[in-house]
Amino acid sequence: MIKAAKDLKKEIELAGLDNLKFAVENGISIVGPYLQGSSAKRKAELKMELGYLLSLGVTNDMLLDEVAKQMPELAPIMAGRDSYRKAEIQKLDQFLKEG
Amino acid sequence: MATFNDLLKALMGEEELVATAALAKKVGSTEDTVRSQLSKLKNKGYVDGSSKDGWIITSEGRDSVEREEKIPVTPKDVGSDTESKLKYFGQLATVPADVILAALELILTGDPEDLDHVWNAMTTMDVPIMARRKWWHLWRNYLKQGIPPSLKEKVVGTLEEDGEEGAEAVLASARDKGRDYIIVDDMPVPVGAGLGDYTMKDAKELLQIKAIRARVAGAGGGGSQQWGPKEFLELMDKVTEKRGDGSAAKVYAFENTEEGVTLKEVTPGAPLNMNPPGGNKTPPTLIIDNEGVVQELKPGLQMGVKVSGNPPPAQKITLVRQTDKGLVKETYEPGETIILNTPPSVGSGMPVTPFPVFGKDGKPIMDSEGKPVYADLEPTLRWLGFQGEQRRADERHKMLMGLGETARENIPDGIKAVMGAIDEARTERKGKPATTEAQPQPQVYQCAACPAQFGPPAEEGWTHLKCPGCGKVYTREEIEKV
Repeated sequence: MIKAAKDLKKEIELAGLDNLKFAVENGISIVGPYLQGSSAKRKAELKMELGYLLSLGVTNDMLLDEVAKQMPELAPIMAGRDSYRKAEIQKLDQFLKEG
Repeated sequence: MATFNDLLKALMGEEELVATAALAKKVGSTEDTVRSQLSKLKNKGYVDGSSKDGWIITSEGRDSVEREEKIPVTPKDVGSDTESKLKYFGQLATVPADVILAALELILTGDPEDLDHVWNAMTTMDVPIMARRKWWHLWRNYLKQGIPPSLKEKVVGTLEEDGEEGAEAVLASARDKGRDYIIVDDMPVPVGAGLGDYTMKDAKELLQIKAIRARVAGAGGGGSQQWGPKEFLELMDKVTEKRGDGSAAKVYAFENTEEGVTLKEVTPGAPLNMNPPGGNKTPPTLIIDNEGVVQELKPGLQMGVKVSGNPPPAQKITLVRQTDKGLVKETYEPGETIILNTPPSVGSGMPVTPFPVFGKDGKPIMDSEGKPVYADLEPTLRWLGFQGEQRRADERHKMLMGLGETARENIPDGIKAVMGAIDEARTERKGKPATTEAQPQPQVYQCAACPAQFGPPAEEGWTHLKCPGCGKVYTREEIEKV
């Protein structure tokens, strides 16, 4: 799980910390556009990794918490935004449910 | 004392064995001596028999007598006893046989190894001085002893003095100086000043000669030659002959005299005054006074050093520079800073970087006066430099853009989408303050048919929402159920 969180963190950081802060502060989803804009190959990889983690008992909630831990700059911004966090988790769940 | 040949001749006429005593009586020698000699002749094969039975000459002995060959007496023939050795040395020294016997009788009454006693015995028996010295030195060499100081003046002498009959004692000559060594077991041994036979140099030379002779004899297969008393005697004779009258070699030296350079004989031991070439005259010391007069600095003449007055004042520095106004002459005070590289004024008629102008034919262009025309290349050089800088800046920019593009290409597609969404939001909102948790965030929903997201309108009484992507309409109940 930590490795998967680190990989996600590396990719998300490419968007820029300022952009990420802006997105979180304004309620703009990061997971949604990321999953939608990824290539088919990347989607398949993500599905496989997330499914594997789920089989191990690692939920998307836990994964998101780990990603937040990897990015301490966003931690204070994420704090208190439970609805935003829940929306992101729902998007991950929905992504996994898709065929 | 009879020789070997005398004994053989005595036996030539006998056809029967002859007793030792009879033979001794016949040759006029002692029985012991004859017995000893006959034993040696028997060893050589010239005689046969024994002291008990008598002696008889052999055919080889007869042949030797008929050939009148002299039977040599080798060191092997000499007995190891003192008497035999003394007799042998006496024969070598050409001392008459009867005198040898007489002296020997006297020597053997005392200690034969006492050289003083031996010399006195020889002197008493009137052994001729030359033969006496030879005999005594041979015996001394055999005993490996040096010359006793008491006999130094007696046993060493010149030939001239020895030639005078009746000459007894002689004083040591110059050749005695340095004769401090004797040879013992092939090694030079010091025995005292003037008490030896050789100088160190002579001893070394003799030993070298002996070693060479031994090697030659050994190479010939005959074994090393014994350095016997005969060889020693011969060498002494040669050394004596070499020294001539015994005086040391003359030494000459060049001496500077009033008449010039002369050759002067140097007395050994006398001090030699070494005059340098040209005598004691040294070149005179000359001085030049203020008036320029050259004088010789004689001993006792006082000479003082004149201290000069104030140094001359420093001169001004004149500098000629080529400026746009032409040649300018400037004067600077000593110590004043001089700036040489001054940039020319703009728009001057004088070119800063003059470069001759060439025509199409490659020849320099001349003006009306025939002087070559120069052009100022400074502006051209500046323009070219500017162009170069611009080109480099463009290339740098392109490179950076390329790097940015490459970086963009390597960004995952998902991140690109995120960045695109963020950019759209920025564009839409344009300065709107960021929402905080205190403000209620609008709910965002995603269409089930397409990835489009949408949120409810701001007004509260909405009942339907339309997907901005595919146009599908959702009721409020359907949305709130999610």
